[in-house]
Amino acid sequence: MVNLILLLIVPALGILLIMLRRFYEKSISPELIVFSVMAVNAVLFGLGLIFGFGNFSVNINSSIGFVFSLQENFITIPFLLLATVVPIAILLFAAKEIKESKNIFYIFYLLVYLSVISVFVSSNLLVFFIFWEVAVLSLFFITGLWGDREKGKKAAMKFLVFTQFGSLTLLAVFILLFIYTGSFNLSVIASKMSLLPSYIEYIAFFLLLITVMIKMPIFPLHGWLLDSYYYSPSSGTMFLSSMLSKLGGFAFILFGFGLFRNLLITFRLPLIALGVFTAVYIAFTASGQKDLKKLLSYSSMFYMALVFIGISSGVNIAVAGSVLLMVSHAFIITLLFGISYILLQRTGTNDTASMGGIMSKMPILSFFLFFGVFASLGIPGLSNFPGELLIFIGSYSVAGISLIAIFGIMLSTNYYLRVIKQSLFGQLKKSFSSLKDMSRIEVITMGFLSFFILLIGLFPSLLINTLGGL
Amino acid sequence: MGYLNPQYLLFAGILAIILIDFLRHSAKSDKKTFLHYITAVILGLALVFDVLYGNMNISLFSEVSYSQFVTGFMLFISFFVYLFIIADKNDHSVALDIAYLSAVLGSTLVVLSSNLISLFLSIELLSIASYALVYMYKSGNALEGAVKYLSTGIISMVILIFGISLIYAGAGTLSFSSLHVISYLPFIAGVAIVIAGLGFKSTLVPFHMWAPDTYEASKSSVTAFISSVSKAAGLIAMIRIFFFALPVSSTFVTVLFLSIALITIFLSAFLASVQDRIKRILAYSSISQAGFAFISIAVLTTRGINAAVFYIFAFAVADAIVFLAYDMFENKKIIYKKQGGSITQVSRIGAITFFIGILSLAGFPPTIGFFGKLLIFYALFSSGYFALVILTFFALLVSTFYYFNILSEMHVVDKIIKNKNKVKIKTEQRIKETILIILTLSLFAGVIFA
Amino acid sequence: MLLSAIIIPMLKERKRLNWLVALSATIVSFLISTFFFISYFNKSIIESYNWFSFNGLSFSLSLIGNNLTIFMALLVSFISIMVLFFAGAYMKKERQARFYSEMSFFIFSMLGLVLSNSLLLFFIFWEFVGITSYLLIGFWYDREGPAVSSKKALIITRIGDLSFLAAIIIIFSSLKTFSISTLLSSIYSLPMSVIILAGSLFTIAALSKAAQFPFYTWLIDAMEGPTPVSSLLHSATMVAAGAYLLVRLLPLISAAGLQNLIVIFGFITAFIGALLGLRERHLKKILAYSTIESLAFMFMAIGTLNAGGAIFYLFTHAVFKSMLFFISGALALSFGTYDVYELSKKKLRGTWLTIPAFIGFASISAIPPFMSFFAHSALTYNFNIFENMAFVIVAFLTALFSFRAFFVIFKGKANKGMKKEFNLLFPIILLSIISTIGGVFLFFFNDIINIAYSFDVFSFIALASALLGVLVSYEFFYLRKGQSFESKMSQIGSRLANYRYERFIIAIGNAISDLGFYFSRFDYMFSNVMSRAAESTFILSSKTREVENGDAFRYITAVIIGLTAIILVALIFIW
Repeated sequence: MVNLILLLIVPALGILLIMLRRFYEKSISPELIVFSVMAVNAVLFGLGLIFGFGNFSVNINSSIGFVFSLQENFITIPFLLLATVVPIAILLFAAKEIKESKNIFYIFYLLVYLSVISVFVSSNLLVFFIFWEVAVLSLFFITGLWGDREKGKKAAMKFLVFTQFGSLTLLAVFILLFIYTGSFNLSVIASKMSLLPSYIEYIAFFLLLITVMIKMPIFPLHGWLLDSYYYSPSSGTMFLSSMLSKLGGFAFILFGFGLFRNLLITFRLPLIALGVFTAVYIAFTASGQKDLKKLLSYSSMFYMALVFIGISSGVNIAVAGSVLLMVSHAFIITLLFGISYILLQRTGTNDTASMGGIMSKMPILSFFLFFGVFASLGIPGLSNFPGELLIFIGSYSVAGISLIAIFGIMLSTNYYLRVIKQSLFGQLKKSFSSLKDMSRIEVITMGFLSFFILLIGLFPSLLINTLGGL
Repeated sequence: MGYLNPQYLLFAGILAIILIDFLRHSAKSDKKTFLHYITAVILGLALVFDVLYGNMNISLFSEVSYSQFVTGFMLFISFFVYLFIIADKNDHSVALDIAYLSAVLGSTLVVLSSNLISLFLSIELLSIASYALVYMYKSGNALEGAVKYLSTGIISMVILIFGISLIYAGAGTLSFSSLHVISYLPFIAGVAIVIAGLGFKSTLVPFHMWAPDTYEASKSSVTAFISSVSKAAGLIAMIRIFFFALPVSSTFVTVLFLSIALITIFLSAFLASVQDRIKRILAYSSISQAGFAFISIAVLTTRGINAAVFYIFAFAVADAIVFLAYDMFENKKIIYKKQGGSITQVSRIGAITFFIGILSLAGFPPTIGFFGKLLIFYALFSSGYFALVILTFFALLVSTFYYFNILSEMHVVDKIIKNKNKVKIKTEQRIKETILIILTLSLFAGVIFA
Repeated sequence: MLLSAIIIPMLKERKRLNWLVALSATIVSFLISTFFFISYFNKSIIESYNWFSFNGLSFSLSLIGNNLTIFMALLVSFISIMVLFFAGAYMKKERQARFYSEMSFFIFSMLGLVLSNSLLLFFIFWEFVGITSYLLIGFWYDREGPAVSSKKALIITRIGDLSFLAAIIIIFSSLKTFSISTLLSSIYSLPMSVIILAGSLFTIAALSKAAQFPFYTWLIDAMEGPTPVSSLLHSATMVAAGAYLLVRLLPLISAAGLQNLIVIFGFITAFIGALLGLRERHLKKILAYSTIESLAFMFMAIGTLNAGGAIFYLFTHAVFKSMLFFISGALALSFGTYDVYELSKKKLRGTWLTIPAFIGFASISAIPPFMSFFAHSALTYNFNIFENMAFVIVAFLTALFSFRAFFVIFKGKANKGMKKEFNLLFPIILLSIISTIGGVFLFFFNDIINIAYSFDVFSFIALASALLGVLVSYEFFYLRKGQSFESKMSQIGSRLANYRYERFIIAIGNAISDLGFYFSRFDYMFSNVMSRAAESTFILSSKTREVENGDAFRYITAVIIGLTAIILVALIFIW
């Protein structure tokens, strides 16, 4: 048995170690601490997979139901995989990009890491919310302080105000649940959902929807996405796209699908329609982007729209597909943002039209770019395919319109191929004649991500079998 | 044992200090610091007494369920704010001790008053002492601030006593236990006027206008006291009158209260977001905090009152921290947002606590500011004010904006991070930082009182 | 068991002996296919593997070995061996590791595709085929042409891929299984809407993969790739996958009532292919047009529910078309150009290539005694009279344009021989032998794939018109008579070519990009609306700030107003 609190204690210790670094400044770098923390956690997670996870519970204030309790729920395992593994890869880019005030950066880094894990394992809604907010705040600071010098702060503020609204509506949902069930404990609430009057249920469900739509994000509420993805440092962007947006999906499954299933099923048609609209709209929007990072930001939203379709269909199989797609997308988008960062660093631009022919100078990078693009496009054998397949199968069985989203995949084929054509193919520009390919450590990181992409793609049953509780 | 309570102790302390000061003058001694230490000890002991024995309970003053807690946190904050004040190597006069102790005594008595007249007197005690405190540090425009405070304060007192007299005319009694709502025009008008009178103390719109000027004019450590303990007293007085004495759950009161609260929240949020001077922003934020507490009072349910009491505690501590931390910056002439460049050269810990205080004010978990808001929403939802909560969300967004705007414009976090040069830290500053750290810890530990 | 046949090519090679590894792996799979062919003749075996299952729905991948699939596997591996031989000569100077690993992967996917029994697995390999062909077309990534055309190829075939995906989703949600055999056996229990929808989606998939109208343009551009790639992917295997898909799903198509549509598309494509081929100067593109046309023949056969004819023609076509590509590659190797008029100046008549080339072009035109004559007779078995009439015209055009290329290239008499190389010589000779004597297979294959054939009057009319075509072609292009007619023909051709279908497609692509641009502009504005709204409230509040200017009198005024308001509210409530 691996107690879940261990997964939280290890990063907390890491934060402490970094805080105390002034006493041993010379000997150990913060990257090493962060890396070892995450490695230990990954090992713990692996052990937990084998021996099972133990629950943890400490009562802090019983009058407001604030119990620090951690427990596995029906979708924890895939998300824990994502939360323990992806940041290890992100570390490389953080280490490359962040040169100033590393200590504090890595404190925030570990805070995001810690809080995302905690959100995935907490069974008390207050604990859930606290870590949810800590993740937002840490990313606010990462974006604002280490992001773009001129616009980073503004982008961070936009991000904060937007997501804060979502957080508040989520809080409102939690309070409503607490009022009628008398508990913040997830399993207690689940067993007492029938106590909610129907109008309360409607209110709570729509508030939850707002949260989810901001966090994922879905069409009318995605205004924060581009700025914060674009002006964040690359590691921040990776966290935003691979972790934070998944929190939205996680919450949607846990509450929307877990608690408000009846309402979800009632409203599935408009919701799926919204998801489809978002997917197509965003695919079009992404087609108009010239900058690789912006394009990837929009494409990331496209996949979250597919996830939204899957979950809001309310069909088990589509929800399982959404989980799968979220996990796989986290790996893929990290890989792609990583490549975009390396390209930016080497070529000095992220505008695909001004690159060209770099495949001859950077064959390994090109290989990974191909790999990432094909994985995003849902080529079978790579990780997006099973998720997309399940989502479409599940949602088609309840709403035929979901197949329209396939048109979005068509559009994404178009823009991804445009990226490849413009950047990799063609004649090498003279200014790029001294480009160097990826270094060994970059190859290892990318290979690490690719390994998981391939693993999930080839053996989706590894993840799907953990979703039996849906 | 019945006499071992903080109020008696404070009163005895005031007398003792006056006496000792008199003796000191006679002995032509110059050791004022000794008196400051005595005052600090008195405040500390009062806190201990409150925890151990509770409050006094005599005819005009009676305990209620939360009075021990409220008195406790008032004393707790007052104690540390006082320590902070005297940690300055200023030449504090003895009047500080007396005024400060009187103000604390006044605020704790407000909590206990069970009669309109004793309530009025307690508030008056608090107010008069506060005027003195504001004027005591003649920095820049302290005089203007004090005068404004005094003039508006006196008007408010007049309004309050006028309202009380109208109530008396209607009900024939001033005791909370025997007051009851009667449908008599002067009585109702009296109630309305009492709201206005207490609105001054607790800075509700449109009676808030003195607050930014006064807060700005006085020394920040004094502001810390006024904006936390003194304001808490005003809000608690509201609770005492409108929840315990006059349980008027009519639509009239609800509509009036809710609209005042909402206007307070929104106006202060918008006004705060356009200020340039840090202290004014903090002042408006403090007003908006009062609005939040008041919205919870306005639902007039036990749940709402509990939430309000906890929220008052939460924002009082956070306000105290923020103003105290700002006091350290103010001494280095950091007045405008954009000047925040050197805050960590003043104190790194100061900057960190300032940061955490702001987080709590903005309602971010895991600080008690969050739990306070949680309880308030809980109370509002329980009474069915769904739309109201959503409305307050927007105000909260605006406040999130300006709080984080302070942080980013002042480069708080950047500076915390980039602070490389080791400033030589004096003992005085060490003490201040310790105080801030203790208060900040209570921002996290306070959740057990929720 | 069957898996072993296809996994071997997966073992990617990064050694010096890439070519040998790839070749031997393919030979092994060929041998294994032969073994299966012999041992499982007329039997049917299904190998199934449960990929993952959820909630009682199982997503299984299964392979089927029956006469048809193993025959196809044999064909694919055989052609692949030939192509690899040829590639050994053609690709000497290129980056071999990448080429051969992609080739092997392609062969692997193609083998998997023909053998799969589950629609899911079929789709998986279908996608693999598409992706690898993209990579192979874009093999010379540093040239502008392949970069553009590979993108185009993948995008257009992706339309088909995604409609395939949609189709299998539709089928799965009503059948709860991906198995083709289950699908075919339970077709009539499906609702009609599902059948029609899925059937038409599958048809779109097949049309796009097989480069039929309206998707044919990618194939022409795909000739930018290396010639072995063109010969393997775009003549023998990948495009045939489209036809093969429809053959496998023939009952579904006929249940959906799509056969006439398919025939019509086939004829349209055939005409377009023949007419456009007539004006093309680039040898490989001429072959590409003929490929399109040949595939159109297969679609006609499929549309007339003549699966055997289609498969036999597929076989025939694979043999002679890959041979023709080898020839074009060999020419290009020697002379460095694909332009037929350039080649014409090189005086090639009498070199060793002349005879195989003649065999190839005659095969295109279905002249006896070559195999394709027999294939045509099988092909047209189910044709009705209109189809036959149209076919006669097509036959004429085909002969005309294919022999045009032949006559133009081999016009001058050679004075020196071409270089010979085993890797070139062996596959070309072998394939030309097969296409010469392959006619006998028609009678032999009857046991395997149920071919019905007849040599009725129309096949001879078609033959006659083909011969006429050859004659006309000889007159015009070899003897250079009637120049005016020729120029007129090429004018018609160029007018056709410029009938802006190509441009139409490009315009669609551009429109999407433009639309994307507007969308992104809109999104940018939309995202900023909220910020703008927030900013305007701040402007508003800075106005309010002026009210509070520190003037005590003003404060007192505000207080009095507030107080009055409160009392008024109180009074209103009392009344």
